[in-house]
Amino acid sequence: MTSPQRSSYEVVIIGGGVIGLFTAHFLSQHMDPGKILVVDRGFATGGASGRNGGGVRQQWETRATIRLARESVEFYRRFGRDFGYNPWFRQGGYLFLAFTEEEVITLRRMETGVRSEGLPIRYLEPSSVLDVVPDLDVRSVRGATYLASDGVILPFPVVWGLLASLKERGVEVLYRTAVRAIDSDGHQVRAISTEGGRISTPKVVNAAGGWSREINLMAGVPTITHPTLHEILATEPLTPFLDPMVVTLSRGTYFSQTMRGEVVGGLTMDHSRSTRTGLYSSREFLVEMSKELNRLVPRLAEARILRAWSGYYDDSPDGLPLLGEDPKLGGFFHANGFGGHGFMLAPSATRRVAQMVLGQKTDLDPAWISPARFSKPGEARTVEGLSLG
Amino acid sequence: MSGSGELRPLKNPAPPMKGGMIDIVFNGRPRRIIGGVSLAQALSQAGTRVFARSLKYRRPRGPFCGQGQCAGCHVRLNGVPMVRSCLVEPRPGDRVVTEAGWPSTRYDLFAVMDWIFSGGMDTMRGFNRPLALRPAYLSLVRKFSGLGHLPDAAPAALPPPTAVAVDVLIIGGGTAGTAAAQLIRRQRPSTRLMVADRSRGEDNVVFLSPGDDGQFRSIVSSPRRSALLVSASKIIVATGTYDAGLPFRGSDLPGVFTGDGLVRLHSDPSVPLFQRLAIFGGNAHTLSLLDAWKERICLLASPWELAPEVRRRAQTLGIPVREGVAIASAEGRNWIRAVALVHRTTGQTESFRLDGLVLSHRDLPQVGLLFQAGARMHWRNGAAAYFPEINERCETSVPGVFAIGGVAGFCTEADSRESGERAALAILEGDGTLGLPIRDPQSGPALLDRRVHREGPCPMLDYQTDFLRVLGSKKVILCPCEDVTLQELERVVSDGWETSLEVAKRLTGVGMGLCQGRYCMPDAVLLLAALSGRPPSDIGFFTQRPPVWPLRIGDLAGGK
Ligand SMILES: Cc1cc2nc3c(=O)[nH]c(=O)nc-3n(C[C@H](O)[C@H](O)[C@H](O)COP(=O)(O)OP(=O)(O)OC[C@H]3O[C@@H](n4cnc5c(N)ncnc54)[C@H](O)[C@@H]3O)c2cc1C
Repeated sequence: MTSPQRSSYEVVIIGGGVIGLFTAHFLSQHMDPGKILVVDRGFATGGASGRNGGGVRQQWETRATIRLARESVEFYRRFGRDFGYNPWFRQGGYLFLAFTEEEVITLRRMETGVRSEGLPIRYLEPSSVLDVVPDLDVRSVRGATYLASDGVILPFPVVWGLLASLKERGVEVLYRTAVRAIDSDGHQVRAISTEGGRISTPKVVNAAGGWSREINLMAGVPTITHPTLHEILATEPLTPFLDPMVVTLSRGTYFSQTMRGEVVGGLTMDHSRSTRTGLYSSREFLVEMSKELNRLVPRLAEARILRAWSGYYDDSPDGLPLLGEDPKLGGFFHANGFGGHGFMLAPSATRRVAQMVLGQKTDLDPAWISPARFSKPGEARTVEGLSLG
Repeated sequence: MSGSGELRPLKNPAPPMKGGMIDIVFNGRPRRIIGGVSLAQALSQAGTRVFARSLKYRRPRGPFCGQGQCAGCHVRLNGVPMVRSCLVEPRPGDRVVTEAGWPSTRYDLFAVMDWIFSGGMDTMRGFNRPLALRPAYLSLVRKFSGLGHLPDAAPAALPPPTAVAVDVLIIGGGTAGTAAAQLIRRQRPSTRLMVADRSRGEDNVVFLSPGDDGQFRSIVSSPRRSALLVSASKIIVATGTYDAGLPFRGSDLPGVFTGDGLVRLHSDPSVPLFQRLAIFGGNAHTLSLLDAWKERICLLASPWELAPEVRRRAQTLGIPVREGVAIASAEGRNWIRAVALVHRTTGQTESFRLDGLVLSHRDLPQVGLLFQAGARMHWRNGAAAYFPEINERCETSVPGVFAIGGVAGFCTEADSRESGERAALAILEGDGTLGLPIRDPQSGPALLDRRVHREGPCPMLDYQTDFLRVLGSKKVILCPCEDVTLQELERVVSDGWETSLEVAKRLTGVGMGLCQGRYCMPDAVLLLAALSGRPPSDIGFFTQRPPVWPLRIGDLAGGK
């Protein structure tokens, strides 16, 4: 536990994962960096930002998400040069596989949207899928979409690069310091209490990822997001044979090959009835994921799983994040609900969050992104259908 | 062609030479090797020194741990990559390929990387500029990635994993595990008891986790069949210890072994693999190594005072003894040729020519499964490692999971046996069928207090502190799996990052390789402590990820 240098800040960001750090980064370009504080109860990369699959894709159903993801791709391409830490962002594409006619229709619809945003997405018949991944078993594949500029990034260097740059700019980032309470007068945020003491601030950003619900409870605002445990594994490093990230629509199975050669992937398991707490890996996941890898790339049966781990998704009801000021509590900003896609949306989404914190207009449609969208029950909302595993 | 059936378990990890020769195809050429021993031993005996190359610097790699948990001896066997050659016996007609290097693993042109990047390669901060070169960097670095090609073929059919339910699963059949098993069998023969022991290359428990129904889930793998999915109401972890590695310049050279590794790999000195072998340290294996290799041993060195009987034995055999020394460096290209020792108090240096070095200075508990099961662990200075917290029944903080023997910090055979009996009694008593009391039969300090000490001096920390003083600026490979250097660890501290093991792991990659941190993490903790001035227990740990040993996908994938 550490104590902050000052007793008051203009903005306090709760959560030092990619969302909180990127928010601080963009804020610091427009305000006194010394008046921004990031607090995190764990260590850097300890949250989902150090536990994810690094997938960065622009294939989405909702237009705004496509645009945000596209901006992120550009950002990550330059990240190494701009931040001095190399995230080895490798654009090997994303390959979405459909196994039923229904899934083909979903992919076709998505393809149209992505193409109309000017991205060179391709629809592939099963036979041409083999041109992209020769080792795939395509016997039951009905169709696929492929976008070559999607890719996979190494998460850690992004966090380190952001931290190094924030330090240089004079933004204070405190790890190992938990936020315990958020004080308000009922309408407006006044202060937060941390293990290191009380800090007064008119603005708080909830960038606590899988713990955003806890922070919402502290602030006394409605809880929309909730955490779900997701598992992931890596094989021993193999010589490159797989360029894109492969995703199945049905189970949200995904896998790609890292720059080290490990096949890294996961799928969605239902742990909702589990009584276990904390992060864990389940035997069921190892079995299910082995079956999926073997089904999709049969030769992987002879390869070995090196390690498995898990992290929390911060899920929202419509598969889209919550960005912006809380409708009830002034000065309380949301940057959460990213599900399994916060890494790829981080640079572009947080740039808008920073604008909102600074009271500027953004180019985002509030009906799509604002936390207020959940306070109008019954109203039809956009749902992101491709918010998968 | 390929398939799990091709991987034969080792009947006996250290059998005497049977002398029978068999013909295999090695790197495309016929080769005659001895049978009845591990493939690693047979190939070494036939003159193979470099089995693999490291990921970044293409440094030579050879057998090291002898038990399938390092990145040294993997080969492609009959189309299956990354087979640990120390765990399988060769069969006539086997096709063995060492996959790294061009034009060959032994003479790898790309080994110039080691020389070009003699100050270390910074993959975290390098290769960034100019932006235009980014695609070229990516494809170049990617070309060097991976340790083996995708398997040649998919297996024809995969038998499904088998579900097994038992009352008690004992993991490890050494002194402690056997004592527990015997007592349970004797007192209540009806107990459904499974004893899994990986030392014969089979029955490898790679996964342990509490389930929702009060039963523990585990995965037991074996090269002979698909996995067993075991559920058990009680678990006794008796996984014992293994011999540690040690970082110094050249510590990753072929020809450097761990003590238990050498015992498994080259038990038979009648096969003249070494002419001049040096032993570093005086742990449990030292006496048997002295007796086995006798006149071929050129040196017994130790970081601290040797036990009198060890010193006497060496002197009787006429072996030079050096105590209170550190290894500063080892020389050699593809095989160790010499070591340089530094006296820890006088600073005097001394060099020895040799062709083999055994590290027997330190035992480490095989605790991966306990971490995974969620048992509370604590640091013990005496062994400079984490051990499970246990009560007088040898039960960990996870009810139903017991830890006994070396993995729980017991040092002698008698104590290990007694700890096993206590756990067994606690389990037998638990259901009220036996009225056996848990007692401490011996006078003197109670059993739990006889474990390796928790507070007090930490000799291994003192050693690493001394070592840092004699360390030059030359690259020292701290983690041979991932080619992480000691210099990278130093930078974690000097750049002002949090000096925890969790952060160091994610900054440098230490602990993320094939050995899951077994051979780097224990020293990384001490070096971080020494460099930052914090106590080792503050550096923390990271949980060894499941599976604790690599698990073949096909072992789980069969069936519906
Ligand atoms: C297995 C897995 C795979 C994924 N794969 C992908 C992928 O391929 N592509 C992609 O884009 N995304 C992926 N994600 C999602 C992505 O990782 C997350 O959306 C993203 O990292 C969220 O960043 P964050 O900063 O919001 O959260 P985090 O990184 O979790 O940071 C939240 C921080 O809040 C801190 N905190 C919590 N409570 C408190 C408190 N009371 N006081 C102070 N601090 C607190 C925590 O310590 C934590 O560090 C994956 C996630 C998982 C788990």
